[in-house]
This record gives sequence, structure tokens and C-alpha cells, in this order.
Amino acid sequence: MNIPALNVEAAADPRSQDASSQLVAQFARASASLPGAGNAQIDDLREDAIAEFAVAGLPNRRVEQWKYTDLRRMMSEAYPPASAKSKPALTAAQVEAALGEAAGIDAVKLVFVNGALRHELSDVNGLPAGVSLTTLAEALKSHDAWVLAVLGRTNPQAGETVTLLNTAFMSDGVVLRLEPGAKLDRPVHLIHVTAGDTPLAATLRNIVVAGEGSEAAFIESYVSAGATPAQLNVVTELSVGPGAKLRHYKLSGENKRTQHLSSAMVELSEGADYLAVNFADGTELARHQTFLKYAGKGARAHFYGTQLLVERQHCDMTLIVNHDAVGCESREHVKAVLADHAQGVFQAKVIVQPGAQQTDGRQMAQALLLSDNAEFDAKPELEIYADDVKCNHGATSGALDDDLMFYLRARGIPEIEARSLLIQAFIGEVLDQVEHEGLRDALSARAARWLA
Amino acid sequence: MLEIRNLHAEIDGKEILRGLDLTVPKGEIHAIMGPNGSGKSTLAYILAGKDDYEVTEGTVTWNGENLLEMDPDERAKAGVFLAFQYPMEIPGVASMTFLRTAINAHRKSRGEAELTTPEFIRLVKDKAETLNISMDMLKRPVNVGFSGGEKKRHEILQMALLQPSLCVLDETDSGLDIDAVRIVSEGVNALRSPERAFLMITHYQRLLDYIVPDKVHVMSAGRIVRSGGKDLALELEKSGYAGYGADAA
Repeated sequence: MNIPALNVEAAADPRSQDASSQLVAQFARASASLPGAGNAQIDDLREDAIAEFAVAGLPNRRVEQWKYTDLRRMMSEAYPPASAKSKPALTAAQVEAALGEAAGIDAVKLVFVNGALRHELSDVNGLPAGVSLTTLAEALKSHDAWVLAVLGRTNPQAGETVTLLNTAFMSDGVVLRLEPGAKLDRPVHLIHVTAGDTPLAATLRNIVVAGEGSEAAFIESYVSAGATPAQLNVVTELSVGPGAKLRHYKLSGENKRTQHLSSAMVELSEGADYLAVNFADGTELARHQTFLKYAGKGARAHFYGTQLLVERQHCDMTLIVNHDAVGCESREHVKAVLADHAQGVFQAKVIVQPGAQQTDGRQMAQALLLSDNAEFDAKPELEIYADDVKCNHGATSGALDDDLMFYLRARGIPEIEARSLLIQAFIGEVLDQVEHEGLRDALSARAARWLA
Repeated sequence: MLEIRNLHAEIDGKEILRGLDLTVPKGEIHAIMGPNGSGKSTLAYILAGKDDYEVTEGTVTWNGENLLEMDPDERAKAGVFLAFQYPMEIPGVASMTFLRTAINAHRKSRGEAELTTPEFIRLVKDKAETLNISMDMLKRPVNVGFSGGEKKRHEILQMALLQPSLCVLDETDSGLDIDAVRIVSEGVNALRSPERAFLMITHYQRLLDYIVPDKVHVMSAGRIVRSGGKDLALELEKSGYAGYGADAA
């Protein structure tokens, strides 16, 4: 494919163009310094992706899947990719402070700052046998044959904008591979911190391949040290092998000048067991996409999300769940607490392919609106081509129950505490799904801090 | 002393209380009886501060303090306790968390330190045992999956823990079998004290066999229309509420 010609005059002043053109121009400037540059396979992958992106540009609300998150309008400017050369000084203490309650979790830690791994802040000791861990930057630079063979192959979504951009710009990330039967006794914790003085973009690609019967927990935490505006694009490919058990937790808690686009590409083999819990209280704009494919019978995937939003924060959790095997189970449950002018979005499209009999799919979206100006958009979709399935969906939204508030206050509990108690109870149903105790406590404490 | 003078109140423009007068001195138990729709539960809610009701006229003071100017939590701290006719279910909030938050809110308002976990558990365990409430029940969310009797016993447990000075019991006996009425009544009787006043709202005389009132008032169409001693309840049991308003239940 050819990259469409750019208006050279406009390119001289990046602010005179829209973000789509800026991204294409940035790629032209940055491509030679991206990891793996010079390798024909990697170069082709990136160039094809940016060329395909350049044709459509960022999606606007006329694109059905982006109806509630008009990316073209909301992402009016594309920040320049963080330079690998300028490394902001950041101490372990600063990383811990940025992480807050989640800092204390005992885990194999990989700390990335502005899209690049920082060895001196990471701790990758103590991996059990059968588990290998590397970074995407290393793998691309060394033309790692295994990584090049799996890269982009997990439940790929043809023409999907966010993942195209990720493929073009991906600079680093976690590559975690579990041999059949390997078991991680501690989670692998990806910690991404944005820091510095100037707006920046960071693009991570993570690859998790869990072999047959393996078990692991992968935590992704995205936070900010300071008020730097940032744009993140993160793709995490997760291939869950036969009978493997993968827990996937994500905290998006960046400052409110951050925009975060993320895509989890998940493929489940026979009898695989996948659990995802997303916790979002940061960013001004977030779109967390999950693409799930059931490729083997009897697999199960549960997705839980919670959004705690204030001011004009916008958070969109969108799932495309593709049942293409017999006897699989899917659950999607999102709970949003929305104050001020915040907007929460939950879209879940469940497709049951012909032959995917005995599919058991349920989805639920619930929002607590703390202000008349807050908005929650829930769009459940079912596309069923099999006749022996059990699928349902539901959505509720409303204010705090006055009668419950009165009951608590009649016992002497002040209004603010009563509200906090009821909101914690509301999101508790999602947080209780976190199986890792340390993380569950950290997220509960974070939620309590949000409410205070 | 609870003093209610010429209380008028309405909900959605409909007048429910029409000039109610009532005095309950400390150390006494007063029962309010009356037909359905006479405004008994409205009175209970207004004392506790539910803002669905608008007080259009009159005064309510407790120990000289104007209750009508206080928020529900301030009234609770001033000693007012309403045992609900229909206790609310609160999914996601464990009973123990709820009780602890309530107790500590009261302690904080008195300038006392919060209870430590062992202190709190000991306190609850003692009171819960006398009301035949298991600690397992209190690990469950507030009132969720509780039977009717368990909910009412849970109300009395809260009362015992918070030690209010003005106890308003709204139809506490409704939906209870005779054993449950006995347990609840014992719980209430244990709290009788010269410093405490009780207002018991009940449709039936039965509860008054167990909790003997100092005075019985009959309410009809939003006012107290007759007052007497405990024998008045027995008289009502025989004659019914015929002659006390439209709804002669």
C-alpha cells in the first residue's frame, strides 16, 4: 500500500491539521527510529497499518461502534511520540506514589515510563520454570522469530482503527509466555507511568501466550507522575490455551489530561478460563475495547468493569464477544458511578455463530448518576445465529435510593458517609470479582479515596 | 420529654396530620393505636426526619430541642431512633459494617474515640445473643435475605447498640409470630429506663400484653382523639376502631 500524499504546507504547522493527518506525519518522521526498523517484516507491518489508517482516519460518531465516543472530535490533536532519548528522571518512590494503593502488590514488576521499559525501576526476579518474560522492544530489535510469528495474530480485527495505530507506533510492552502447565505464583504487573514537561504519546503492545493448562495473573496499571498531558494506545494480545487460566486486571488511573485507547485481543481455546476486571477512575478520555473470541468448546470469559468519573471525564468500555464454539460462557458486567458532567459508555456486542450451541451469555450495565448532568449510554447487542442458546442483557441507571439514604441517616450516619457506603456497595459487586486479595484491597481503598 | 403541638403535615399536597398534640415524658411508654390511614406511620417518619413529608404547622421538641430543624442524622444523635415497619435491605453493605459506621458516628458526635474491632465485636455479640441473632446473620448484607422476624430483631439490636433516648417503634409486631413478638418485647423491655421515652405505634393490642404502656392514645384522621390508660387498648380490642374514622378496620 502507498501512503497518501500529504499537504506539505499544512504539515509545517501541526496545529493546522486534524489529529489523523498529524499521526500520519508523525509516523513518517518516527518510523526509522521505532524498534525493529530495517526488518522488512516489521517495516511492512507498520507501513501497511499506517496506510490503512490514513484512508479512514480517526472514527467519528457516524461510525456505529463510535457513536458515543466521537474520537475525531475528542482527540483534536495528536501528541508527538515520546522520545526514547529523553528519559525523565523518576525514582522508585515516585513510581510508588503515582501508583498509590496498588504499589504494595507483591508481583513481578515491569515499569515503563513514557512508553519505554526502565530496568532500574523494574523487578523481574523469581520467575518460575516454564515462564519467559521479555519486552516488545527487545523482541522487535532482535527480530525474535517467535514474537514475529504470534504478533498481531490473536483475534485480529481487520481495519480496526485503534489497533492499526498501535501496530504502526508500537514501541515497547510486555511479552509473557507460559509453557504448558507453567504456573505463576505471583502476578506479572505492568506499571506504566507518564512523566515529564511536554505532552507525549506512548504506544505499548503486550503479548501474553498462556500454554495448555498454565495459570497466570497479569495486571496492567496506568498512572501519571504529575500533570503532563498524554495519549496512550495499548494493545494487549492474550491467547489463552486449552484449559489455561488467565486473570487480567487493569487500572486506568492517569491524570485528567490523559487520553487512553486500549484494546484487549483475546482468544480462548477449549476449556480456557479468562477473567478480566477493569477499574477506571483516571483520564479525560478513555476507550477500553475488548475483542473476545471463543475458538474452543467449553471456554469461559468473564468481564467486569467499573468506572468512577467526575467533571467531564469520558470512559467507554466496549466489547465484541464472538462465540464460535460449543458450550461457552460469557459475562459482561459494568458498573459506573458518574458525577458532574461525566459520561460513561458500555457497549457489548455478543455474536453467537452458527454451531455455537449451548452458548450461555449474559450482560448487565448499571449506572449510578450522582448528577443530573451525568450521562450513561449502554448499548447491548445480541446477534444470534444458533438456536440452542441462553443469552440475555439488562441495563439500569438511576440516582442513589432516597429510602436507603434515609435509613442510614436515621441511624446517625452523616449524608456524605451514607453516600459513600452506598456507592461502595454498588461497585463492590465488581471489585469482589478480583481474585487477587492484595489488588482487591488496593482497588477498594482507591475507590474509598475517590469517594472521600 | 417529647412535646408535639398542633402538628400539621402533608405529602404531595394531601394533609395527613391535622393538628396533632402529644406529650411523652421520659421514663414512659406510650402506645398509639388507630385505624389504617389515620397517620400513625406518618408521625413516626416525621419524628425521624423523612423529607417526603412537609410540616406546614406546629412544633416538635425533644428535651427542649426543635427536632424539625434537624437532619435525620442529627436527630439520631440527639437520641431519636425509629424502628422501621419495613426495614430497608441494603445489598453490598455488611450488617457489621453498617452497625460499626452507625456506632462510630454517634461516638464521634460525642467526642469519643472510635471503637476498636475487638471492642466492637464484643459489644455486638453480647447484645445479639439476647435477641437470638447469630453473628453469621450479621455478616450478611443489611436485611438482605432476612426473614420478617430477623429484620425486626435487627432493628431492636440497632436500638440496643445506639442507646437512643426517644424510641419510636412503628408496627414492630407486624408480621411476627408469637415467639418473635416475645423476643422483640424482651429486647424493648430491657431498654426501659427513667431516662428513655418510648412511642409505640401498633394496630393490634397483642404487643401491649408484652410491653405494657403507661398510656394509650387513639389516632384518627391525623389527630389524637382519645387518650387513656392501658385498659383503653383492651377496650379497642373488643370494640374495634368503629367510630374512629372512615377506615373502620
